Amino acid sequence: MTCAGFEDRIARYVGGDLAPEEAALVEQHLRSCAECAELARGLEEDRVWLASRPPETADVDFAAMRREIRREIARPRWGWKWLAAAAAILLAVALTTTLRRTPVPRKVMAPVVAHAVAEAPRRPLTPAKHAIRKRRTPAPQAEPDSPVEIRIATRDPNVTIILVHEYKGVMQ
Amino acid sequence: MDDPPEQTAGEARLLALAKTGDLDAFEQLVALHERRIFALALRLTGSVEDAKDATQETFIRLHRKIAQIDSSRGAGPWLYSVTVNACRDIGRGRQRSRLIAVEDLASLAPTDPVANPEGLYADRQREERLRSVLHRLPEKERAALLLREMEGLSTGEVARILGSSEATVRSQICTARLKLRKLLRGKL
Repeated sequence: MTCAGFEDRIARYVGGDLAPEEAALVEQHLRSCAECAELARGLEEDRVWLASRPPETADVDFAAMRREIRREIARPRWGWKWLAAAAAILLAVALTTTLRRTPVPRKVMAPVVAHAVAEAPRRPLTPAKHAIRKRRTPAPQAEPDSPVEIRIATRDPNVTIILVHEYKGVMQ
Repeated sequence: MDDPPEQTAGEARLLALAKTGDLDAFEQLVALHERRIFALALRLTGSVEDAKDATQETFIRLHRKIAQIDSSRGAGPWLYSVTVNACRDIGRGRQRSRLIAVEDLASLAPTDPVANPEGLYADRQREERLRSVLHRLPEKERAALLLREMEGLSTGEVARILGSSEATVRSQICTARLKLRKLLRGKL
């Protein structure tokens, strides 16, 4: 069992990572503690081993590895610039296709003006009756399959109710 | 990692040529660093095949980024950093045991075998044991320890390569040394 608190310092001492005064303290301790001295010897052995024995291998064919590297770097790469260009082309194609499919503009019908009844009705309305009186306009003629937009203006100029409806067939 | 001055000058010349697109100069640059990079990758990954892949990947990345290399500093620190990342990528990608394959171990041989076969056997056994326990260390501690002990880099250099603070790296190296010792003694 090594002395608690000295292990870290011994590990740093072996690697030469201690300030001289702290290193001197560790050396003093190592002279008096056999367990810590053994740890220091073991750490030093490991350090020397790691430093002195690069695990190179005679069997690795470095020349072949170089040839492979040369082949790889000669190969054209699809870098981000190429990918960005491809993405831009795809986007352009997608946009063109979408625009071609866009339907004819919707026909906007003349606004139907509605007046809120809240303003002093001549006769009281029953709750079951509709709250808004509409001035009827002639039925708009729309082309088959084209959506119809109905705008209902209220007394408030800032509020407009818009109804959009798609008719299948000719409006009656 | 103090290279002799002539090597540094030679490397700066090769880097300058390689930056102009000279592939022969680039290949010489690879030859200058390949063994050191392979050795680091081998200890980081624990597998000869993974180490080969990481080494190749490192030099391919070097070719792509060669314009960014500071010729006066050499490619070494940059290569270490990329090697550590390449090994990490390979390790994450494979999701398999990091223990060394038996056939990998059989193919390992020191470049300069000693005449004493008993010593060589003991060295191999020690190397095998060391690498198997290295892989029980957390990735960052292993990388910090290897860069420090194997490559002889300073704590500051290791910190720059790993993108950590010096205090963190100092602590990682210290912890790794102690864990390695305990693992080698079978106490972990």
